[in-house]
Amino acid sequence: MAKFCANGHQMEDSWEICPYCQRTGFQGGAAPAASKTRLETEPGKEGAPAQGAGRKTVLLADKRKPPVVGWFVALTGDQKGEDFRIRDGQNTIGSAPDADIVLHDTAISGKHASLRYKDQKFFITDLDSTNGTFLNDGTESITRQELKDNDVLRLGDISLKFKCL
Amino acid sequence: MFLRPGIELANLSDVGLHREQNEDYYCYAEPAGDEDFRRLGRLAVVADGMGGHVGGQVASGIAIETVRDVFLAYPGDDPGEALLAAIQEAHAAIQAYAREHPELRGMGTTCTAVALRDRDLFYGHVGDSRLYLIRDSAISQITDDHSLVGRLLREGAITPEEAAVHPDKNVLTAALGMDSAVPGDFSEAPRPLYPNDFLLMCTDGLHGLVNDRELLHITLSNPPREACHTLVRMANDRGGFDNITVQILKVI
Repeated sequence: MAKFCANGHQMEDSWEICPYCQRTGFQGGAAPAASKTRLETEPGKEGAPAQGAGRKTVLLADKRKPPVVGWFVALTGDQKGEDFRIRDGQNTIGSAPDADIVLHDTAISGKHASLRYKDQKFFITDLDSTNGTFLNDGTESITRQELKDNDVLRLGDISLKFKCL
Repeated sequence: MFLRPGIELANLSDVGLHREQNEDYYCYAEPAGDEDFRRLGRLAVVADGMGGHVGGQVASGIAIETVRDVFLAYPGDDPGEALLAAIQEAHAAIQAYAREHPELRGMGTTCTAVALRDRDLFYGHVGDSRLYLIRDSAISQITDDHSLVGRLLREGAITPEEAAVHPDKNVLTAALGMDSAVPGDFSEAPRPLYPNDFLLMCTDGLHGLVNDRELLHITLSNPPREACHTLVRMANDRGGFDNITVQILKVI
């Protein structure tokens, strides 16, 4: 007959105390096991385990990203009303899931355009997309163009209003 | 602890070879009253905490305790709704605890919970721990990984082979205790199970090092308890980079 502790952890027959419950210290309303507080070792520092071993689970938002320098707001299309952060450096725009700014529109290429922020200026470059990138009332696709606050960019059926910080 | 007939249960958690702390936590529970058991069924949960200091294990501990307490006290008769309420409450409890303990800010946890009422399966899931169903010599992953790699895989940007070795395997897109809303997946309708089905729940310390085919083979060729021990040993033999937790429920 299998033996389990009060929290449903399987016990060896010889165990009197469940090690998993003892560890958390939550039993009986005690405070969490704060006594073992220690700083986590950072990769490359003393005591850090080798290669894949130092890998810790992190949330996507925790990955250090460059600062936000502007925004796009979708004015049309299925994503109307959504805002997209523009960060320092290069920002790819397209339908590919790993683009920095992901737009869901079949008329938009995977890597459709790139927005670069450098020296306090914004430059939009069309990445040789199938259906082109249009600025404001323009009827011809741009190749590379500086973006100014309140410009409207059109890719496929989506219009994006540009706001700089 | 109650363990009423209907399933065979086994579980095991191991710190692995590289961590000093086990930030995984897990539980199995049944309501004390037979009437409550008929109404809600049984509960099994695994959680993999993250966050510096002791944040990871605090978050996973709060998640497990809250999910269990809310589930067991749930007044309604829908186990799926009970799981939703329980996971929402756990999310709020972790955030509240982090507000009172600023040194733990940023802690979060995965949480994969199943309720089994008679032979109907309900689940709630946040993060990259997994729930598998093993039936008729086949294994299927019921939960989607809320990870960057999982998202890229679902959208066809990378292949399963690329996913297995992706450098960002540890990046989650959702976790309990983070953000404002609960970003979880919940079963839309109960899923019928049959005798000799297995539910296997595990944290990424196992499924990151032992592939689906191996999980299937080991589960089918061993009693549940030995299967848990064998799977944990395999993960440790391959590096044991993370904490390893596995629960197996066999429907009988």
